[in-house]
Amino acid sequence: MFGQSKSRRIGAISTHVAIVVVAGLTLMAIAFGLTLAGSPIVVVGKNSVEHYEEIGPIRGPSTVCQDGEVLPRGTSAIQFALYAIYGPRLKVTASSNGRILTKGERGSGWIGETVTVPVNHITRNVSGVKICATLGHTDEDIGVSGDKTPTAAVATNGTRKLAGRMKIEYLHSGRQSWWSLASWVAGHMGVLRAPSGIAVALLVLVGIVGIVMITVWLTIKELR
Amino acid sequence: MSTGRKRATEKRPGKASSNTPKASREFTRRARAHQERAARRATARRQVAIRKRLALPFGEESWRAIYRIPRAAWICALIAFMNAACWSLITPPFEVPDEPDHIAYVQLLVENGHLPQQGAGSYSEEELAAVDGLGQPAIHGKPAVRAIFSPQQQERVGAQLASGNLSRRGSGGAGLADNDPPLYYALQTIPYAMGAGGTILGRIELMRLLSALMGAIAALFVFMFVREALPGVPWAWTVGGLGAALAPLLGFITGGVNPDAMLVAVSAALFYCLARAFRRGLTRRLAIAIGLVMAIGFITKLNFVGLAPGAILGLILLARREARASGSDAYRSLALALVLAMSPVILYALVNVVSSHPVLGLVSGEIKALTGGHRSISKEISYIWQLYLPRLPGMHDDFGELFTTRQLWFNGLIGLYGWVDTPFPGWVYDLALIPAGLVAVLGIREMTSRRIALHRRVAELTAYAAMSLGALVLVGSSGYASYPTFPTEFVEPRYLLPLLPLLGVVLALAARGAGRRLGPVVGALVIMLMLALNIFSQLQVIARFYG
Repeated sequence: MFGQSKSRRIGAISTHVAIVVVAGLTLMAIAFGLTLAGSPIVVVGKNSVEHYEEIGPIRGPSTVCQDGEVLPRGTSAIQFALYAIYGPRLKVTASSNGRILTKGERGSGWIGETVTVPVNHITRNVSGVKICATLGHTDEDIGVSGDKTPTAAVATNGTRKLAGRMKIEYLHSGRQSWWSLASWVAGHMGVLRAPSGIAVALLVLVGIVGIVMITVWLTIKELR
Repeated sequence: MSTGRKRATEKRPGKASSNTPKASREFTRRARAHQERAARRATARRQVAIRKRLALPFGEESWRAIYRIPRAAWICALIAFMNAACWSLITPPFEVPDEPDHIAYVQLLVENGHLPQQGAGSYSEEELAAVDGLGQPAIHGKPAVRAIFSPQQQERVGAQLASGNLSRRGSGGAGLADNDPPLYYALQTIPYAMGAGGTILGRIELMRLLSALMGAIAALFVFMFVREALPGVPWAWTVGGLGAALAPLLGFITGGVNPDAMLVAVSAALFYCLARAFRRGLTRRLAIAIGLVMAIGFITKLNFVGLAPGAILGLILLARREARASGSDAYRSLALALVLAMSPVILYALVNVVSSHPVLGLVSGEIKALTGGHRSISKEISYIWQLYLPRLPGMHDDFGELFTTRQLWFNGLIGLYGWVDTPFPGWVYDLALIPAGLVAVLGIREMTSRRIALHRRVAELTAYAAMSLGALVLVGSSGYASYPTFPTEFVEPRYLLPLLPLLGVVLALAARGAGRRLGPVVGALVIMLMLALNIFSQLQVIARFYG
């Protein structure tokens, strides 16, 4: 009797484990589909700055501003050429003639030589825009990159002029989904390492499917 | 009635009650025992046949030890290898942290035939052409810049690398890897030599596969460590082993050319050997194994130094415990382990003394950087504390708005790839707090319910805690070297990979904490979450480099 109830219990556990595994795989498939239905962020416009030269280190809290920007229609994020290992909180405003056109905020902890801040959607092209980025408190030196230029239209840090103009790019969600770009992306994965990028992508796909199948088998077999 | 029951009756004709449920159970038990004996004999025959076939000079005990490794452990290792191999394919060359320097080190060993010399220049013409041709300096740190892909770019770089006109001899240095010990790089000369006829990109892929193999060894030892540390519930070993094998950070690092790949394997082996010794006693064989693993650790990466004091403490505690039963034999085992462990360090120091170099050679520079300059002990302690935990009253604020526990470590361990420039969107880290919190709560619940057993194993836990503390302090200390200009410059989540075995134990404890009925279900959930995290991490990297 005890043996029977034990085997029933093991059977029930196995069923529950199988349900969790199937539910997990289903959710993963849904999340995968939704992710690929989204669009990559693409550049909709940028200022004339071409390079990533250091135009001045700054330390938060401080505000870097730059005049004479053109804010393109459709902008939903602004990317600044700021360098940090773990950057502070960043608040961004875009204004024209004293009127705020859009604003956004990014929490601390961003990493790298550029930082992207999501902003409210812009519905029309606006020129003569002043972009300001306010950095929160940090002990780290933040690098500002762009073109070193002697012109008057340089970026400023408070009242101090930096050594040039900061590189700024304006981004929005592209029109094409990741699904429609899948073969294009796969084609690039084998850069110089295989005759065809698709071959590398297929190899990765086979590997991942193999990992999923072995993981599922082992989980159902062992967890009971 | 089943045939089995008929046969049972026939075999015992004189017993009237032979068809009762009790007799049936007795028969089933005997039949099962017979089957098990037959299976054991068949396995033994297979083992003998395999050994005859291979005819390897391998000790009886070693074979037994290998055959005793559960199949699930091998499968975890296979998964870790496949995963790292996938990571090696999706991550473009030179896009794993410091990979160009590590490749330069291997190339120097093979082509120049000597170890790197500090400040003696860097890459070979061939590597420089590959690094520049693939746009690594432009991609580094700029998540919006993609890997090169235009056919013209590829054609130009491909032709240049395949021309054979580029020198493979470096100028004598290996950048940040100058001071690294040589074992990992020496092993990497094998795949490098195997791919000598191809381009540098082919050789990098082969070297990455060797790192993937090291990832597999790490996963195997994590499984074995969980088995030794939590022997009571076998299904939980799979949760810990599989969870660690699927950890995306392990896949990413062991999918690149980086000595951290070997360090994680060595650390996992050390944790396993110590756990085995704490469970079964410090035998001479285990003492030798621990000593050898530590020696390998010292010549793999300097970060191993962080684990060493805790491991030595563990050995001392083990020897003290053993001494009560076996007297001075235990201390002889301890001495043997320590001599073996320290032998590479002693040998290196002797060579340096004889050749009139600083006692610890190139490592002296590292030690100077970690101990000299602007350092003040109290400030350094405060910095290291804040690097991991919230600031205490009275401490100077070293990190501004950065919540290190969450942003530096939690987010970093959840997913941060490339040259720490490829994170997930912020909401992923927020979402990850929920399962991580549940794992923590269930783990604490399990530990609380087993506090008496924990109390009995306080020496073992002390050793693991000391090893972890040592690793954390070492990372903190090297981070302090660049403080205050860049307080987090040399601080990366990958430096915690040597503590991967503890992640395996935490996951296994969490599953056990859900109770006997729900435990396996929670375990399956944990495995599914790790699988999902791994797959979406790879997608994130694909989107960043090729999107």
